[in-house]
Amino acid sequence: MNKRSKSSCSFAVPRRMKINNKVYFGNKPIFLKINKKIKYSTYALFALLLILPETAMPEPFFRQVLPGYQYAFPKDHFSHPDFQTEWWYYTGHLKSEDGRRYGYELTFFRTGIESQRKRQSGSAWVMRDVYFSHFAITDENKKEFHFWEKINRKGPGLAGAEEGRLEVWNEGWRLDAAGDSHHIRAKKRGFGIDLLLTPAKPPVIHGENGISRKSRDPVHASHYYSLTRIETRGEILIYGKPSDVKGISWMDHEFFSHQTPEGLEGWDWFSIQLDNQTEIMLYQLRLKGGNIDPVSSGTFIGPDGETRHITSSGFSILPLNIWKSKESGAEYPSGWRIDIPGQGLSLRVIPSFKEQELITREATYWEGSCSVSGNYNGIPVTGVGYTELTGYAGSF
Amino acid sequence: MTLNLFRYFTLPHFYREKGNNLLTITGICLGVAVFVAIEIANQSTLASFKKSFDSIAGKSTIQIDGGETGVHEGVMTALMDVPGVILAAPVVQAYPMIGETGGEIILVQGVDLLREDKVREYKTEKDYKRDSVDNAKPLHSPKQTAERSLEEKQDHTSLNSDDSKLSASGDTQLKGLIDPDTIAISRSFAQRNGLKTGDSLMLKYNQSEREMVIKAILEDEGPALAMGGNFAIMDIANAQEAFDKIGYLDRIDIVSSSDFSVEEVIRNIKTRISPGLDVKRPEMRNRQIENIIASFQINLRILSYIAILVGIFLIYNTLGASVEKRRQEVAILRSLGASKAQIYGMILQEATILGLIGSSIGVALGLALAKSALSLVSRTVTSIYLLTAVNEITLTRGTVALSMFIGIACTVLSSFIPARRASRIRPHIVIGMYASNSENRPTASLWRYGFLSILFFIVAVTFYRAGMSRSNPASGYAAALFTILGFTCITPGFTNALVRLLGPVIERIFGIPGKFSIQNILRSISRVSVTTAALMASLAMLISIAIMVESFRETVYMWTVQTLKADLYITTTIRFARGTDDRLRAQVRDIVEGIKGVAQTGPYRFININYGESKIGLASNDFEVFKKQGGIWFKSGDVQKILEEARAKDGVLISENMELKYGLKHGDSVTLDTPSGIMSFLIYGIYYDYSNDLGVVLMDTGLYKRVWKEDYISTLGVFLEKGAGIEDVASNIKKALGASDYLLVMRGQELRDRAMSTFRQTFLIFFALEIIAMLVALLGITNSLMISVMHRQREIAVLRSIGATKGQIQRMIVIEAATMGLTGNILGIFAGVSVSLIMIFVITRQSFGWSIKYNLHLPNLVMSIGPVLLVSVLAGYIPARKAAGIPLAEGLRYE
Amino acid sequence: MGEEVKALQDISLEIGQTEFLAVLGASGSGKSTLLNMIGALDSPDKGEVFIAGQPLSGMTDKELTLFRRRKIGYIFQFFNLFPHLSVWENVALPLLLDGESPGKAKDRARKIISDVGLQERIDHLPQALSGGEMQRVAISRALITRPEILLADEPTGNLDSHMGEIILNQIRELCTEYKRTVILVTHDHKAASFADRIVEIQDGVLIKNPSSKIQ
Repeated sequence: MNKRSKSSCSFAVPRRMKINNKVYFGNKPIFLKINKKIKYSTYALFALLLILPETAMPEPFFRQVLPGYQYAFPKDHFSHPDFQTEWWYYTGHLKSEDGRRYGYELTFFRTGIESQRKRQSGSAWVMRDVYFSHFAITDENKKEFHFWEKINRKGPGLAGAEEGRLEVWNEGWRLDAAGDSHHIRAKKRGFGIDLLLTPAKPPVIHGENGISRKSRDPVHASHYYSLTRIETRGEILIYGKPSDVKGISWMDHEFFSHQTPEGLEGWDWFSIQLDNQTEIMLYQLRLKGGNIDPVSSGTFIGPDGETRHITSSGFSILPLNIWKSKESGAEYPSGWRIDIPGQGLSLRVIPSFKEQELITREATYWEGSCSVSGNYNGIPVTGVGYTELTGYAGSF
Repeated sequence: MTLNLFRYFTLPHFYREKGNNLLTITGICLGVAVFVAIEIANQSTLASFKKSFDSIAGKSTIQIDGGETGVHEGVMTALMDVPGVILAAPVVQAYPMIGETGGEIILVQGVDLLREDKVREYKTEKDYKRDSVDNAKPLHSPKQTAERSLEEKQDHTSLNSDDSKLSASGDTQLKGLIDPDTIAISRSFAQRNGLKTGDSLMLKYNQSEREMVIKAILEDEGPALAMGGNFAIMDIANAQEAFDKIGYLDRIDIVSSSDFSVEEVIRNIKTRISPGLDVKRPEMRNRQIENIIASFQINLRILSYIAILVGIFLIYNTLGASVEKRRQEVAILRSLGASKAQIYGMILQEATILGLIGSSIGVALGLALAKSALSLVSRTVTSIYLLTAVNEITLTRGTVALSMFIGIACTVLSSFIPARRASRIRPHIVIGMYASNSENRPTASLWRYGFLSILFFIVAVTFYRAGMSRSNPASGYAAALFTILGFTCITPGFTNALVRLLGPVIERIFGIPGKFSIQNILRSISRVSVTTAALMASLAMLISIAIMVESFRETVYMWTVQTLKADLYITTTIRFARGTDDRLRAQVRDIVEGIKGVAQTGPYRFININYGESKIGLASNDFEVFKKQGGIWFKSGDVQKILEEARAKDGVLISENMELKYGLKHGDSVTLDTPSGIMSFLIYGIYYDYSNDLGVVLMDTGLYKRVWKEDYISTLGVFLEKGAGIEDVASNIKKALGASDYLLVMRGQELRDRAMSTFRQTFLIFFALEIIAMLVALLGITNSLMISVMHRQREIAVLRSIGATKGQIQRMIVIEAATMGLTGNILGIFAGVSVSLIMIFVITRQSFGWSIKYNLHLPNLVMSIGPVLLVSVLAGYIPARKAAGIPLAEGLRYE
Repeated sequence: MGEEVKALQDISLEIGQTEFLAVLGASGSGKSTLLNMIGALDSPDKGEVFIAGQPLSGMTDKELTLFRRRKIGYIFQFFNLFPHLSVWENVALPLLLDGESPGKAKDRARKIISDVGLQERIDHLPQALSGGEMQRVAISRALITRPEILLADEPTGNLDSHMGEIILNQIRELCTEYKRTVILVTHDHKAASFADRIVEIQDGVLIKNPSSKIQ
């Protein structure tokens, strides 16, 4: 479908990490040209290249992530332009009336460029922020994976994220508020989703003191919250054929101003929704050299909405298999054994099928729907989940 | 036998006949060279347009063109997710000037580099990184420090493939385009102007100058080839700022999905955007250009056909002479048994070889000429139609093949008659009982020709009338052709009659030599007629063009006086290249009107807009100013009334060629695509406009502002109060506006002169060729007489033996030459006047839509006789000398 | 390509003032060349031609032309009349070339034409005449300027023997009457016999010179 045919080297988009910094984007310079055609990465990401590390700057231009941030909703659903980078990340599992199962991912990214933010100009095309968006559909029955991307500057209204209300869009892909629900829409060439998302639980703030840490250096931190269980209904379009669907979704919203930490190779991120109304979020930061950064953490969300922060010592993730991508040559772990002894959880997370890799201009990463099974305090549980793996597509 | 003929007769002749052959080859060369040069000029111009458009269009299948007023950028949101649209790429473009006045003009495209790669490919230079790493540049700002540290970090952390290093450097360049006032230029432009990355480039646009830093060099591929390599890109935000186009785009290039037909996608687009917007396939632009410069190109082609005709005539003459020289030889050959066909073949063979040589040289010469032809053409097209920078010559194999074919074909064709004559030479030359041979029977075919000429005239008149009613210049050319043919057929009869008429007079003045001249002409009417006809034809063309140009000049002059009435004109220097959207801001009017001595100003605005398959001009001015100061020349009607009505009722005026080309009349309405939608305007009057041949719709400034939503000015006319000093006011204006060599403040007379000089330039080419044609015709006289003298060797020898002096013999020949010249001249005048009528009332009108007042300057015409006579006499000089130099004993021999 | 061909060689000839000389020779013998020398139609590569004591070599082209016009009369084998001129115009041509008015020239021509008996044909074109008549017109032309020397190159070559005789007689008569030098060039013995003296020429050299008179 839209998979790039021959990418030699591409880099992972750190979903949770500093996207801005060109060097740190997955640790590897993003622009490393793939084919002879310089154009692709060149143009596509050159906005990203503009984003320079602020390390030498005395006074940071963007607002820093500091402890003591007061979250308020629905305000914090809206855009935070004073922070440099932000994204809204929706994943979910859907089932049509005739029993077919689908997974979807729709993400909206925004990242600000300091030099352009400071610029005095009447032109609407000044690249104060770059907006990009990924949209993927997993057809679990047919074992097909489709993904598309968009990249835009705001211009006269091509993309944007509103500060005063929940409205984020990139051309025709949209996130709007519908009362207390979120309405997301995306369509491309005979595929699409149009879903109404009603959160069943209040937003969950990850990390400690409202800060989710990404490295030992406190500057690498973000404000990160999720809507961990969202009732979903709407329509899916597959090969031009619409079907009504129902299901469950997960939303991540993260905003920050730091650059990617230097020693970071990539991360593995898991969202799990068990049928006993509990949810788990875990992320594992993989450092160069093979170790796991001890600031890796997670969150356990109980049926009543009670949340518990899990530190890196509190969970273990064991990959069960390896899948090598023919497209990118990356080797991804496929299937995991996840243990959270403190919560009495022992789970197996298995991808609904292996080939759920996205190769975009910004990065190459694996993000796919998974099925979950295991034990909770001895009681067997099942559920669904989404896993994201970044930083595996090195060069050959 | 033919093979032997070739080896023993043709080949030796080549060496012997060097002079003659050279002339023949020159004739072929001339025709072919001009043909090739003009073909190249035409094709290259079109090809460069096409290339520019194509390379700029890239992968886009649909273009929304904002024309000169631009399209509001809000349209982009309307295009989001239109079925079938894969990508809508916005473009802001401008033609700023580089360097000093008269410097180069460059096409700058402001694009959204984030998404451009789906539409167009730009390649940047690959060695930049080597340079940037090797030269440790001093760091100026934290930004650069950060950049450098970035690059360094990249080097450390980068992978070891060269690709990665390259791409790192590649994007370092283009990423720099995000910063304000940065630009990337094409390699050829960089080389031509000695520029490299890091240099600064001054752009002059819209009364302002901006310094740009060159951040990257684009390889000469794809869009970088547009405008002959005068191409640059900027980030779209920077372009909007630099060119004062905030809120507007010049174009939106759309890549459509192959799942949909292009027409379907166009329809989908049109349902979502304002109906007045121009949504087209890029190929349509090519066709539009072709339409726009069609007339011009046709006229150039005609020129090349004339050159070929001239060449044919020259070949005919020289080949004929060469054949005559070999009469004896051919006679002997025939007596030895060579058949007519073989002789025919021998001559044709010779012609083919000459044709081959001449064509080859002609093609090479044409190529050399092409460069100058090209610059002339592109200058003309620029000043009249649109900006062109043609740096490349397109010479296709087809053109070469065609030119060679034409050269050889013409040579062979023009050799048919001499070949036929040669084959008819009887096996033994009857040594006649007479001193001279009668070349042909004089009177038999005169009637036949007379009848033919009447036929031709009737056809000519038919075409003339057809041409008057329908807008088709072809009928005008046909009428001219048949007129000339008619006059050609009349030539023998006319010559006969005139010579018989003048005979006694000539005899009385010049005595016996005169008598012989007359007799000789009468005896060889057909040979003489060919020469005279050629002279007549070339003179006719010269005279008709001269009359047309004179008439045109008069008309245009009257028009400039009626229309360009202001004391001063303010405009931008780029204005004189059409198609650039350079303009003055509206404040200029206020500033100027505030200056002491200024009574009123007329804000003339002119843009090109699409209309049908072509373009027309859309102009606006303040009708109140027209009412008070004049400046518009109506075809008919009450000036004040028309202007008042048009202004009050939001009507328009159209130029006369609008009327002719599109059949619009007073009271009709004209429908235009505007930024406010598709609108119809009622026509209240028709006026004359010779500033362009596209047709113009003129409206009041107020109406224009409302509909086109802009109030720029193209040229501001300034009317002074009585007694105000023009120099003082001009300098005050310059001071007030900020003197820059970008802005022009001209006196009214200067503008009028400039208008006339542009006009003159255009016709220079035509004149040049006509003079050549005439000289060739006169050469024909020389040749014709040479043949005649060769025929009459014995006659001349006898005369000399009886006691005719060399001088008397010479006089005989020269009088013949003069008589031919006079005949050709008189006929030429008649023919010229006839053709001039066709040119003025049909061709100019149908080609350009202009009506010209016929202006026949009779004394000039009559005065032309003197010089032509003189040159004819000169033409007879060489044959005269040859005749006088005939050795007597040889001439009288019988063997 | 070898040696030059000499048309004439070592010619030394004296001709009396009212002599009727015949130069007899076959074709290619050089007789015509000799005539051309005498008639100033050609000039010798070596040697001199004196006419009435005047050397021809010192004369300019103009002088030679005038000489030819007034002092010499030619009669050619092929008549060499101008077909577009009438009989009298052909005859009067030398006068017209001299600038004489057509009226006067016609008068003078009329006399001579009647002398040869062609007065009715005075305004006709040569096409209307027979061969003999044409030669008579040619003779008239040759005589109209009262030249001192009459040169005839095979004048009867294109005529039958009867006509030829008449012509030769006519020449002789006119000669005696007008007291002219006549030089006749021919290959015909019979024609040559009309002359006072015969010289023979062969291969460019005179072979018989019976009565050489040193002037």
